[in-house]
Amino acid sequence: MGIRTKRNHEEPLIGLISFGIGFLGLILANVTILTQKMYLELLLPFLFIGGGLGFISLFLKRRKSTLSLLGFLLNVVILISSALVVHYIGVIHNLP
Amino acid sequence: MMTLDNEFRKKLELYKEGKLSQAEEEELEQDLEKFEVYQDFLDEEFEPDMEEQGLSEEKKLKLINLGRRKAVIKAALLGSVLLLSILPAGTLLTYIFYGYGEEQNMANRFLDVASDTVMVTEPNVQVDRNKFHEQVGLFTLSANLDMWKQVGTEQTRIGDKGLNLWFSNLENVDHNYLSDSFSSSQKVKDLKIHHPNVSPFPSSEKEWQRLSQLPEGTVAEAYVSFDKLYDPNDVENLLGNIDHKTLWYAIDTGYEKEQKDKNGVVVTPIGYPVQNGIENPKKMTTEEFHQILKELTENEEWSEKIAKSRDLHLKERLAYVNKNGIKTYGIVMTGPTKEILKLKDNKHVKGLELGEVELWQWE
Repeated sequence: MGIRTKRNHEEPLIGLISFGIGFLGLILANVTILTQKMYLELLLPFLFIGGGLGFISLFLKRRKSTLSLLGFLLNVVILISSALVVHYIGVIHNLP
Repeated sequence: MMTLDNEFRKKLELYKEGKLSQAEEEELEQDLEKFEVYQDFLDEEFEPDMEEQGLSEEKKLKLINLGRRKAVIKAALLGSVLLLSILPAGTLLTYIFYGYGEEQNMANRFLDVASDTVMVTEPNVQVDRNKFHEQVGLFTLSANLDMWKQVGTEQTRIGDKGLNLWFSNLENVDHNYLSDSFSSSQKVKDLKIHHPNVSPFPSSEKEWQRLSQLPEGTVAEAYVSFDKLYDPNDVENLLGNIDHKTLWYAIDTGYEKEQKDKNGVVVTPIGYPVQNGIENPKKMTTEEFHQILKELTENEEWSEKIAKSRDLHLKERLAYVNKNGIKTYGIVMTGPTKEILKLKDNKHVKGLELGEVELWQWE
């Protein structure tokens, strides 16, 4: 019996890009927390693009690839988390 | 199956020769389109076996290694995502923990308690609410409060308090004073304002003497003890026509006569500033003081740690104030030294202690 490779299991390129942006976003989120400096304004537009690409990639193929799904989730989760943190910074007095 | 196959072949022959009716022709074309879609799907779904492709052993091995490498990279990326998510997720949870509840969130409540505790338990010391330095870490909130004291017309920074919360538990408080004189003037044991019924009442002779030796052109901070309890609103009338600024009222809360609790521990004096705030001070009322005392009672554990006190007895003191009203037994004031010296002849002034002295800063 031979080994079969399935073309649909390959990651779509925009899914990979989406994951890459999400991964970079995650690294930047860690840097932001550790250095207490705000890089989120830099990051937010990319997160939107990454989230959008991830979303599109999910609908491009009938079989969802892991990294596309993860990329989409990462971007969306980081976006929502950033918005929440910015909101809570706003309600705590004097925090920058 | 065979009949179906033969029928289809026959139809194809007739289609080729153009002998089918219009309807039959359309039906056959639709079937052919369906087959194309099936074929595309199968082509896309299954590539031919490696053996069918006639791949060499070496190529097969390469493909297997490539697949293995891809799997390892995918697992490593997933692992990295999980690891990198710990800090942001923890920080987000921390922000939600401290910030939940909008204006009445835990962080704000803690900062209010910290600033009010300093204002109420340290005579003539206030915290600048506009210059808090807070930092939210992983399950922690640390804050640094600058403390200010007024002598003459100027506010002088005397030090800071570093506070560290772990969840809602106040772990440690660092009291940093810029000089030893500031540090000793804020010591709980060194009470400077005395209740009129303290026995024996400490003599102020030396303090009056020191005050009289100070040259003109200086301003001083003075801790004044009265001969009896007064309503804070009557204090200005008692002091007569001397040029001064009243800064802080010492309030009788039932422990000041003995100055110690049942266990013999010195009890921190409690009072409130005449004006609340550093940059935009607002006159503080007795009602506001009462409200602050209530809030500190609700957060007594934090207050005691911030105030360097083993026990502030806030519940008992609040009950005493509720029963007896808000009465003052002394004040902290500032003014030109020669003006303060005039208090020696004031019959309402029972004692005085000198605080900080500065060069002339007065209106």
